Amino acid sequence: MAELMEMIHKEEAGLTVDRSLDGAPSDVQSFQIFVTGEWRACFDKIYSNLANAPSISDIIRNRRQGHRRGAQRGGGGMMRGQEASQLPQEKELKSWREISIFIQEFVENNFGKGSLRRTYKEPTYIEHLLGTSPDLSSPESPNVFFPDRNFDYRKVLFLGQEINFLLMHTLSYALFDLWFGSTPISVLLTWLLDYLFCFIRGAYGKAIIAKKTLVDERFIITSSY
Amino acid sequence: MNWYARHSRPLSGRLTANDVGGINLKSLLNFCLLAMNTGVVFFFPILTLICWYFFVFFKIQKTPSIFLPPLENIYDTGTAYFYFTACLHILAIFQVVYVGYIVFLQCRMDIFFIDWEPSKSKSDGGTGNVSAWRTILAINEWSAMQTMRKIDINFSLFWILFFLLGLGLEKNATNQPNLTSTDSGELNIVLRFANTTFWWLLSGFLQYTWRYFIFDRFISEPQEQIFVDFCTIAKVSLLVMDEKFHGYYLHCRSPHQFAGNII
Repeated sequence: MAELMEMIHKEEAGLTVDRSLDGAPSDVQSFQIFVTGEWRACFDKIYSNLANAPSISDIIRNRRQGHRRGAQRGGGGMMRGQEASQLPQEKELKSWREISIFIQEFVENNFGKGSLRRTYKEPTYIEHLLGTSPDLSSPESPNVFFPDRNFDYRKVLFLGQEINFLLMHTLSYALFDLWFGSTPISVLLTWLLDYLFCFIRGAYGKAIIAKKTLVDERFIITSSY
Repeated sequence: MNWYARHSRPLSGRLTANDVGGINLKSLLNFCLLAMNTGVVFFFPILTLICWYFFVFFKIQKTPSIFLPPLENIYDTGTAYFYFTACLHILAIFQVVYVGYIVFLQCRMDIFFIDWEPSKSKSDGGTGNVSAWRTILAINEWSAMQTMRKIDINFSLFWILFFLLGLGLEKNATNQPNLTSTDSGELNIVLRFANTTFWWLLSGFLQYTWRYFIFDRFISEPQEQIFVDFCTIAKVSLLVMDEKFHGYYLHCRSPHQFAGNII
């Protein structure tokens, strides 16, 4: 803890380099990225091994089922169950390491091929106003990083969808009010609708994160619903 | 045009047509859902302003000038309230479907955490391995943030219940032109919509204003900033691809050499 506090104090006193990305302003840590088709094809090639992998929970569950089946059939079945569930794991770990290195090399701009390199650009006024993407029409154009000073990465969470949720609550409440003509029933149904979406996002999102990051779902203990 | 530019890329020798997106059944479905949301964003203010107009000028009139049709057969075509009823149904269903679509997309995003911690050599007192606990902590923080919002539904519903039932303000929607009267009576659906929409929007506006202008500036920090700071201390970056060729990258590589310190 003392080392952590010392690090924070050093950073506060300006005794360290800033947190910025190479080629980007010092006050920006969040970026909006637009990638090329080549980059996406390379990413998908490695990521598909990871994304379709059984999670560690699935492997443990399969192993337990193999044990139960083996106990019913005899020792030979148990061994077969264990071997079958162990086989995919090394492939997923290898993919995880590969994709980690791929993204690190991409961020550090170490690739030689133009379409796998990145460049930082400030969006033009029109791009900022209309949310248009930069021009990536040339096949060898590099991937583009735009600064995300307003933390628009919230759009991938419920934090960035406030207006949509407010509209949904207002309209669904009005509809339930029209159907049932009762304020308490409308309030209850609106709350249930919101809880349903939060439950799906929390539960399904947690399962997907566990699967794609190879972290056991049992380690994700925080509940968002 | 903007959507097409984000979802397609020029073909190179290695890539196939499926790799580079473009127009297909999936993109047409996306287009329909985006059109639904655009319709809601466009027509909801129009419907609300029309209902508020009737509410204000019907309720404050001293001499009879505005009359509301009787509430009969609101689902039959040709009646005075049919267009309002149809519009409300369409907007509500479209918005619920669109939010369901957003939730579906958010759950299926490609997400990856990148650990920048270098491994400590045995001469430095390390084991040569990097601990996974910082990544697990960052994933837990992200998981907790998934459904956080500035506008709290429980708070909104509590105060709406208080104002409409507790203080009896739902009777503002009765068919008589007197705002101060609290006599029971049949509630007009247009006035009811105007009344409830007002309280919902007021509640959302006040909560968002409180969080944005006061709480997140003077008392705490925005949750998204807290998360970036946390990931920087943990030295774990985040890459999220919400679309095929678009995503966000949080660069959280702290300037310190090691983040996995001994407590």
